[in-house]
Amino acid sequence: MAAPAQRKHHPPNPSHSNISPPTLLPSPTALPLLNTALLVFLRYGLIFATDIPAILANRVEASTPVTSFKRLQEGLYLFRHGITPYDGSIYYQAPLLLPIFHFIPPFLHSTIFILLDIAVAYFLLQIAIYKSSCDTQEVWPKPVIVETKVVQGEALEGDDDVRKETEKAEEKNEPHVVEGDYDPKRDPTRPDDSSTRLSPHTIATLYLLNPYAIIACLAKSTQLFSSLGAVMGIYFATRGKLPPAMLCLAVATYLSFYPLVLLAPVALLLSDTRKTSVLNITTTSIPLFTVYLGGLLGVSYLLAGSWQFLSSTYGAILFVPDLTPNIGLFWYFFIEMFDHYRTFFLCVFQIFVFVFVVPISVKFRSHPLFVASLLMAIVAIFKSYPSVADTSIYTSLFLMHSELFKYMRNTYLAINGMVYASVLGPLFHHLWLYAGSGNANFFFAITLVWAMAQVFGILDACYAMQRREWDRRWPGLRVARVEVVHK
Amino acid sequence: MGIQLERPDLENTAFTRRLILLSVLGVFLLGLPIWWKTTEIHRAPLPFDEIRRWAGPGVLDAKVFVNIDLRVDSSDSEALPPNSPSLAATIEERVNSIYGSVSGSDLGRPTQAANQPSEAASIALAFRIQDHIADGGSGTKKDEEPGNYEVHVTCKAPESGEDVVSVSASRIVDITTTCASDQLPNRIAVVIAGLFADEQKKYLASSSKEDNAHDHDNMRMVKYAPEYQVTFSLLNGDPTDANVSWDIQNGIDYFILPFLNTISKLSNFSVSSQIQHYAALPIEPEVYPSSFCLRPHMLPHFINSAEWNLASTVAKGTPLNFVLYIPPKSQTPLVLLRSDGQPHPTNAFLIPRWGGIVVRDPPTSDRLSLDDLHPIMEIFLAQLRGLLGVKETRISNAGVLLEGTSITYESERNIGVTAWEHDRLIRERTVQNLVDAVTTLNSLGKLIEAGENMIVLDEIRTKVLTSLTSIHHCHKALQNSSNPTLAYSHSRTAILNAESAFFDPTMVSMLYFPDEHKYAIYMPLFVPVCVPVLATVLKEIKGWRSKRKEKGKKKAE
Repeated sequence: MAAPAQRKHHPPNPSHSNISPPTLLPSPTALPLLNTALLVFLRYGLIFATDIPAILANRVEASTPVTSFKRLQEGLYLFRHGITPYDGSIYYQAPLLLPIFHFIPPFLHSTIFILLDIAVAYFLLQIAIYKSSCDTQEVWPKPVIVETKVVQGEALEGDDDVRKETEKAEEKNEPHVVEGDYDPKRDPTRPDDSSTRLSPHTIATLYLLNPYAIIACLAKSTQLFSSLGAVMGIYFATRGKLPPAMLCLAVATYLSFYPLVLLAPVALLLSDTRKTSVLNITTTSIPLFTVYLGGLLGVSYLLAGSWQFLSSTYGAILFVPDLTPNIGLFWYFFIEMFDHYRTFFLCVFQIFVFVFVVPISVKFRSHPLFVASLLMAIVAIFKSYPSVADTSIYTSLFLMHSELFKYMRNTYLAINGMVYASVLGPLFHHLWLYAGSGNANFFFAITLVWAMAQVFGILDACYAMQRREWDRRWPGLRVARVEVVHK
Repeated sequence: MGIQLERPDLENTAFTRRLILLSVLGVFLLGLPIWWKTTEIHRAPLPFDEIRRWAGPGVLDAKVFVNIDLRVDSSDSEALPPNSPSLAATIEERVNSIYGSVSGSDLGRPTQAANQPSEAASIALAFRIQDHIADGGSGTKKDEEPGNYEVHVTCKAPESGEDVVSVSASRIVDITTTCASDQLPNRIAVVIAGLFADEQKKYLASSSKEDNAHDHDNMRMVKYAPEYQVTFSLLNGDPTDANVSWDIQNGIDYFILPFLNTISKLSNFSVSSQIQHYAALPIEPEVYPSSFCLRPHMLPHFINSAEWNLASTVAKGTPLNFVLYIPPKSQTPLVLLRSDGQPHPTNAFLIPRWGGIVVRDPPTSDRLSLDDLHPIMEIFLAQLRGLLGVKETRISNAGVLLEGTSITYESERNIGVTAWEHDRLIRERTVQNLVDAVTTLNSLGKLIEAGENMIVLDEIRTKVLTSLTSIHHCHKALQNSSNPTLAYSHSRTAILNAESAFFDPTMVSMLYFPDEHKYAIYMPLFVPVCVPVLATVLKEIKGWRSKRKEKGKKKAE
């Protein structure tokens, strides 16, 4: 709250207002390339010089039953010997991954995953560029000078009172019509977020630098394929390309099912970029998505020879037969569950992931990218077999909304919680299963901390987004606040 | 020029709020049928009335029929009493009157039952004795069937020595007595009644529940199972003293298998053997003059269940263990003492419902040959008989009732079980299974009626119905047929189905599930989810009401 106030004494940075929308794309410099090269080199170094990839491949944090590379290789072995890989309970992954890895020689496997990482980083960069161009076009209504009657004294702290009065004032004055050449950039009441802004290149580099991304890449988590599909789907939506966006989403959904939730934000993005109604987009995109997904499943059927793969892949994701401890919330709950209630709570847990799609899409209609970030975060927390690969993607998407940072209140708690869980998680897992000096509750408690830290983070982001929107949408109040603070 | 700035179209309006609320409520509505469907308690209808009917007084009453052919070989037919054609009928009447039941077809309750609690079923032996004088000895084939016996009466001159009763290993009793005496029917009746007296006592005990606990034989006997896993273990205290091995393969083949084959109609047996070294006793033997001893009070702790790995991991049958324990040299000779302080003659003991143990000092040679094993295997066989409930056939009260008669019992040396014993075992098991099946079904019925949250799957229903049908058939077979094997196979189906329904894991999972548990299951997740939703709903309703009021006011104005 103090931040907007400061603006009155410190006029906006002149350089900030000089940036014009078309030139917002940063000029390609050598630095991002160098960064990328260094980070790729770091990955190769870790792969070839250390045992870390082998250790990570067996860690529950990095590879789950539905994304483990080890299981993929088992499936590949069965596939090569003409045995259905879905017999037994080893291979839960999509059939089309098999022919891909069938033709790639083993020494290239690490390179494939590094290339995937770079591709993800590249498309994140492109999305971030779109995001910053959106930011420059963001409309900040001119403060209307409305003499608000509440500005004296203690009413300030109670947001509701201020808001009610302001709403009344706004009602009288709508719509906001501003005469003359109002430049929102020069508006002294507009909060300055230049100090926390991250450039698109920084976001891409941060993704490559993200330890979770490095872990997922080194562990060769096949979740990366799905993540790339999701990120590419968003990317094509930002460019207004409907068919490729749907194809990529279909691939992502085909691989790990949960990217289905991204249909909503991608439809919103497409309606923004194509300047048509959401309904219009939906009527064309849903059939197209269905056709693509059906095609993928059809090809899989031809490859696998039966529909058995459906129950082994989506069945495994939805019905959670493998309760190997992981960083998610399912395993402990369903180990402890009364058998009688298992089906019911499976439904509850799975519906819980999808419950948020409509409310979030409606609430943040004008920020489709934010919707996508939130939904990916929710999926990463509440899906049946989460891993750090999911975390690495959604954190990068959140980094694009760097204008929210100054509104966030719980970042310390959220980030510390995640660090705390990241350090103690493997420790407690070891104590429980290897050292035998801890029990399952140790590890379960830390997965709860992990989930709670992430929930705090996204709740905080939601709050920050609403708070900022409030600032933007109620210019009268913005002025009032500035005035009040400095009286 | 005027620029129309972007206005919030959806966001922050009441419409948005309602849309979000509706979407969440929509999911709740969608979830309701799922909740209903997935948590419904499936209760297959069970025939409770029929189950209870079997436990009703007198319903299970049955007579187990024993057929006896009476053959009187008489050197001089004049010696027979004048009413000899009805000799069989006379004996039948006497025996049945001793056993408290009247003639075969009459369903009158035995007199003993009058003293018993009314809910206890009474099962009693009944005899059909036929005269086979006319056949001239052609009925030999009949005694091959279980449940059919022959009594051969050989007449002798009154002065030629004492009476002789000889019970053969097959189903024949030879009685040599003075035929001319009036006492002839009485004598034969006493022999027949005496042979089955123990068995009758047992039925009375098994049908009246209170006495069961004090029956030592019953406590010793293992619970009935369709399959037993018989394990012979050689436990060697210290292999550095003597690295003992045994010729158990032949030992089992010669001594145990014939017995098991004979009674394989009752249950399946699988036999295994093992040798374990460094088997330490969990108890310290007392020092006895010049040896070590174990007193009776120490024997319950003899089994080192922590270290001796006696149970086979693969077996699914009920385990029966037979242990030959060879103590280390430092504890030899090891003697088992009786309660009176004297050394036990066989140096072996039986653990009820578990198995038998034989203690032997280390042998001189490292390998126990078949000959060395012979006495040990005989003890094991006797213990096995005890565990399975095989009773020796004896005429009870013979000393009083048959004074001055020499009685010989033939034993089956090769098989280890005589036809008498075998028949008795089958009959006893049949009755026991029948009573147990009815009891189990009743407990199950009571349990299901008491626990309203209990799931009753369709397969439980099928099992209960099968069990009931088998009880019915078994009961009928007992009443009508003299063939005990048929009744036995029905009783076996009945008890197996009843027990597997009773011990079905799906029943146990919800055995104790009070309503408070439901709060514990639903509250943690649904209360936090529902509170904000309900709060918003209430707020919306309030807002809508106040708006209506305002409108009403405006109209009024």
